[in-house]
Amino acid sequence: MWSKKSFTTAGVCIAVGCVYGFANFLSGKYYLPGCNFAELRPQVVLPMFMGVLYGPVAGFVCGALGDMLGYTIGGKGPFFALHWSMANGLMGLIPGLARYVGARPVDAIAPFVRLLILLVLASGVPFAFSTGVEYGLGRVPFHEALFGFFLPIFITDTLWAFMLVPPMMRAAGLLISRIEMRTIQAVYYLLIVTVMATWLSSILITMREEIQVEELYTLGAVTLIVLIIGLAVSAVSSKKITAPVVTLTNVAHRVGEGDYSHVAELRTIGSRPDELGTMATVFSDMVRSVEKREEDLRQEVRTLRVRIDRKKQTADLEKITGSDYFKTLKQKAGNLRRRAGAEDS
Amino acid sequence: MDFCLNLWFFRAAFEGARFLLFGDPSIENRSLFGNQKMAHIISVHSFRGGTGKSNTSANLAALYAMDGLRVGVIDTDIQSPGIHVIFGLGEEDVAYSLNDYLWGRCTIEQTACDVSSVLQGASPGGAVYLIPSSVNAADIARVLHDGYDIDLLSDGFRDLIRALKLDILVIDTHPGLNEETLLSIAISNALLVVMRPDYQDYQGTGLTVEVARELDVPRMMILINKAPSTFDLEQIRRTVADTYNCPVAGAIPHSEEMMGLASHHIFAVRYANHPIVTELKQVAKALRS
Repeated sequence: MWSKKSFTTAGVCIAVGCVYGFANFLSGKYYLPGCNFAELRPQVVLPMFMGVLYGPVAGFVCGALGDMLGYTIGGKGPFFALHWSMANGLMGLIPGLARYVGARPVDAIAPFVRLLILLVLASGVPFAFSTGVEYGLGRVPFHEALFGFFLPIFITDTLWAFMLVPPMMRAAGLLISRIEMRTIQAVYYLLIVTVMATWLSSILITMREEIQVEELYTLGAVTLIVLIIGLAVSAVSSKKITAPVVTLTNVAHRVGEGDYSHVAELRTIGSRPDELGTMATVFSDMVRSVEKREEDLRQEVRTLRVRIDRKKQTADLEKITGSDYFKTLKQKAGNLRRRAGAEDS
Repeated sequence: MDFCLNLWFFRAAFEGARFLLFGDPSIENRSLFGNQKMAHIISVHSFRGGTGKSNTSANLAALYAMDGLRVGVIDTDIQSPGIHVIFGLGEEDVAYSLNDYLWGRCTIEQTACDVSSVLQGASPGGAVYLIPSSVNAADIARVLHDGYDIDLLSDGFRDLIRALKLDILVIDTHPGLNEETLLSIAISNALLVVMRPDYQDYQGTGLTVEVARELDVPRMMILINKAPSTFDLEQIRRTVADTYNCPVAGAIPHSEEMMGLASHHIFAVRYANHPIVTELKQVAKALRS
């Protein structure tokens, strides 16, 4: 049986699918240069985001349903291009795998890279399939399938996804700004916005000056490859900057819990000639002295120390032994002992 | 001189033969009263209250009785009696208390209650008699107000040993160093000073040990009780022995099981194989040796 939550999820997916379909209907009026089918569709991020948010089924329903709705509004009927609708569904389904491949939530570079790979796959694989169907059915020659269908869609959808999905995830609380993410995000958005701007400019120039579309999309593909390489490089360098901080934080956490055994992990960081190296060395020294102080304290607690005020003791003793009662008692006890000793011998 | 030496030799030979034939002769101890029974008087004392003195007295008495001895336990803590609870005695079970004896209402042997049943049959030939102090508030108030003749107490110990044919008399004293405590210490063959590893106990324990030394008590030992589990018991033993220049009979850690009994049973009977009982046995042995 469906729970209330399932109904809500389905309702949101269908509603977003409707928005997606209507946006498709609107954007369908303006095709990309050299295309009679592909267009600038920032709305592709909607099914992708639904997938990330609610899972692969939700992403598929949103993408496929929205695409069919777009055709319906355009008067072509829901089954106008079923393989393209399926491709749109797959475009939502693939990012829906995020939770299964450790790309949700995004709180470090590794899950972020996994998310970007999913977005590239979501923009490429489904449309390779639908373009393949077009070519397979003999509707378009290979050249047109590549430059009129696949590449324009793949390049633009990837860029839209790269640009819009991460901020949407941040808004939904699925992208957490830990130090690794903060380091890579500045470079990431700078690169994406620059590449997107260049890409859109190239499209405009192509439309006005009628440059060969093959050149445009080849340029686009190269740009995309360069972008991916750039992101990979920035991911690696960000990781190098932030890894020591992450290690330091983890060790600090453990020290906070009373576990000093991981301080040795800071030795490698301590050998760095920069500020992080200094920080690791200072932290290690600090932890070592805290550990020693704690051990000393523990030893102190375990060790009994008896302190006696001997002066007071002597004064108190004199008070007791100086009394007449005590003197008499001592004498009596002495007599008794002597008598007992005599009887014994 | 020669006569004395010969006498000593024959006595040693006799004791050796007796040991071979009948076993441990250590029951034969010297008594200050020098009577034919020659009972061993052990005072259990602490300068402050709450050290576990009464519990220790009760357990030592039980251990001696389980060893086949006739043991008397006398509660001289007249101002705040408590050991009767450990032996399961209520106010209604006490016909005459130590107070009655001190006020001339009865003989000392009339105050003795046979509490051997608490040993649950684990005392072949042994017996425990308790001489309780009164728990009646008016009686306690009267003692505090009027006092009593200390010499009667001394006579009472002697008469009790004779009447009940006791091998051991354990005196559970009142904390502090008042006249009856000094008397108990003075007439004892052995004194066990109970202390906790606690700053509140250090000074008073020191004073007690020095006073007992002045009174020439033949055997004096310290029992460290309720030691926190974080402490190193061996280190505590050494430190206490060095500080007070006095042998340490035992060091007993704080025990949840003992606390669980809430002074309502005798630990040595209930947990006969517990490490604490083993330690108490060592203490009992050391006090008699």
